[in-house]
Amino acid sequence: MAMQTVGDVITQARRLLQDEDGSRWGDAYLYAALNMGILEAYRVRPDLFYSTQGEVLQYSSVDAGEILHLGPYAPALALYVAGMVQLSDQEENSDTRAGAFQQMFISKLINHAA
Amino acid sequence: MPQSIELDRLLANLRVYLPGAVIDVIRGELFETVREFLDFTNVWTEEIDVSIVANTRAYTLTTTTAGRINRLLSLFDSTDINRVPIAPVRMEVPGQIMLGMTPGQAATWVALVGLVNVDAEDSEGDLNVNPDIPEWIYQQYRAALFNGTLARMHAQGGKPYSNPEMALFRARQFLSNKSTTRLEVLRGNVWGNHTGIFPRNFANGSQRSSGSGGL
Repeated sequence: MAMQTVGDVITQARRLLQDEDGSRWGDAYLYAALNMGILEAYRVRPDLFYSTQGEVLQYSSVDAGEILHLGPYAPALALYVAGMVQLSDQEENSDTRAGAFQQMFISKLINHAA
Repeated sequence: MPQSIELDRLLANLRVYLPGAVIDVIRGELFETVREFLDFTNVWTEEIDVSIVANTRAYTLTTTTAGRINRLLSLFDSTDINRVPIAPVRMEVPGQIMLGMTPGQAATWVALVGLVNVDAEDSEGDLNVNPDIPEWIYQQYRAALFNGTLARMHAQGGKPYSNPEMALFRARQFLSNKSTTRLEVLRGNVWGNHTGIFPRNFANGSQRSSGSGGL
């Protein structure tokens, strides 16, 4: 099974944010949101970290090539990152979209049909 | 532990029934299922020679398998073809037996013990290893291990595969599997057999009449 890297998730989040060139949100925002998303994943699905006995890794931009050992749940992190970054936006419609992204993230983790 | 085809098929089938499940979690529940199964059925056994020393009552048993001694099933004299159990004997700490009487002379006895699987880690210290048990147990009792693991997985809450009704169903199936297996083990896996042997020292005469006094 192909494994997603940290950089893959950040790239997917940028596509959702329509900020692929990084001109609007710097890497620091996205990686901070990624680390929050990993903690949220641990809260909701601690079994995803079973093999590491609960060790939850945190990442920065230098870790873009690191494999995210979350299997098929790694792509869901892109939704969380996009949602968290958009929450910091001041436009009203961004809040709605951000909420939808966050809900989709949780739904993918705990529901069979997401 | 080397991967086996039987275990591969078991894990593959479990994945089909558990959408969204992490394979390491499946392995973890399989580990617990295997332990429960072995503990209930005593299907994994080993005969360990015990060198009896005169006037010594305490002995330590050591298994040569990858398992852990769980239960003392029998202790008998190696020269006794009927394998009559020697009693009393206790094993309050697994692997440590205490004879109820003091042996008067040296002998070689045999301890029949039931085994269970033990915890293990891979080279990186992770728990994602398969239960290290003989492959024939996976071959012979795959259905039971399948039901037991599914029951445990379905009972987990907040998961895509959470299903309390199926957890109950699979748990009942597993209990039936365990009970059947325990009976088969007692019968030595021989159809229609029972392995009990009437102790000869209890036979103190014939029950046939002398032929007189009939009605």
